[in-house]
Amino acid sequence: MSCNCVRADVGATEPLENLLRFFTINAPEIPYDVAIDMLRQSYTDFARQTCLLVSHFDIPMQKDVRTYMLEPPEGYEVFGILGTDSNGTYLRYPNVNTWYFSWGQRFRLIGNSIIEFEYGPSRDDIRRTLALHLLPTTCADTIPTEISTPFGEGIAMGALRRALEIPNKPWTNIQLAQLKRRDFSRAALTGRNLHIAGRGAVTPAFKPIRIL
Amino acid sequence: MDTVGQAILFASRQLSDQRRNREFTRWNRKDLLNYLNSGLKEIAAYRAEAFASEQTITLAPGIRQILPEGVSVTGLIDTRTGLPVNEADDALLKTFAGAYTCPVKPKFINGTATYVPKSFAVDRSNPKVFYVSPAVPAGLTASVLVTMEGKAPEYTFQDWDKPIAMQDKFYNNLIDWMMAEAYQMDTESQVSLGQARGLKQAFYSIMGVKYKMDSARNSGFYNGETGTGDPRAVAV
Repeated sequence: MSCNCVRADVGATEPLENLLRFFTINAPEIPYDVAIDMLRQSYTDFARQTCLLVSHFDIPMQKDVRTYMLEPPEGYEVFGILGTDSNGTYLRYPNVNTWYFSWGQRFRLIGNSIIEFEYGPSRDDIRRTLALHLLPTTCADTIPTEISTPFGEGIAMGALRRALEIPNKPWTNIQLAQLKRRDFSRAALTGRNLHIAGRGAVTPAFKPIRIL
Repeated sequence: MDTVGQAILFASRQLSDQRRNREFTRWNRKDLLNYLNSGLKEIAAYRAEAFASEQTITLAPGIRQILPEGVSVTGLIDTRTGLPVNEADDALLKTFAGAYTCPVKPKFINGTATYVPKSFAVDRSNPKVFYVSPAVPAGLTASVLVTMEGKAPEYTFQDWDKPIAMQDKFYNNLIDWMMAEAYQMDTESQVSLGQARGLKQAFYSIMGVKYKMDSARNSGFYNGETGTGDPRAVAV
């Protein structure tokens, strides 16, 4: 049932706390733990909305074995499968826990950590590559530079929005929070468009999915 | 800043007690030294920042730290970088600490486990207690340079040539206090008592006692009210 699956590398990262420089100017009295937690929430929202955090996961299939564990890179968890290759063709996987038709093979995701194929392969040397949609874990400390460089400020604005909405504090500012929410939404929309256009961050680990 | 001896000599001269071969006749050195020490205590009671000092302290594991001496923390400096640590909202820091579930990990700098303080907050109910964020990991020795408001020093005759460890701007207030205490000795003289009263009024005016009391009263502090606030401030 289990497999010795290849785990994709994450690539170059930087500490998530580097994004605090966008954050603490408007709310300097926010404690560090509170600020970093808000950043993590905003980063998770961004990853969920944009589907930009994608990792390729090679599964060395074993004869007659249908179920395999998905092992995301450290610091990440699997949110869904965006696609799987079948004879070189990537296809979209829209819903979790439903059977999906690919070229000659159906699969489903169980609990975001196990993939189950309809049929086990007839021999051992067949390989499958999955495109995993990742989310950072609750206590993530790093962010890929391919995300932080273009979208770091937008992610920080999502965190700042949360801080500005805390009531009865010296930095509370609901109007400014709405502006920051808009900045975050704009960044998420840009990221989402990049993903849809198949032009997302290109690294050995994070490759965009091309929809043909 | 003048030394202890210079301050005492100056006060004595102002009291016209420094005639040739008859120095310190009415008010002797011991009396004036006592007045100096009581003046320092009185200044510390209202303006503790006059005795600010810095000290490196070792942090305990967790977020709660206690000042080993001094009155209250006013600032923190990261000893590794020399940069000031951000002062944060103490209520939010204390409230969130209970809800924060991520493991407390040291930061590795050049392969060495290090603690880097990012923010701190002074406990308003007990200024000797302060909180740091992130929490200090257990088993890691971490230290910070603490700027604190200190206690007033107490001088003896052995400290005659030692400079008074106090901010220069309160020196004149100290002299006023010493002279007021000296004049108060002459209880049979209405002129002296009047002088003492005037000097004490000047002292407490500089200390800002009336201003603080009026502000607290106007804010509704003593009645448990929220106060009217500054009408010039415009709500954003």
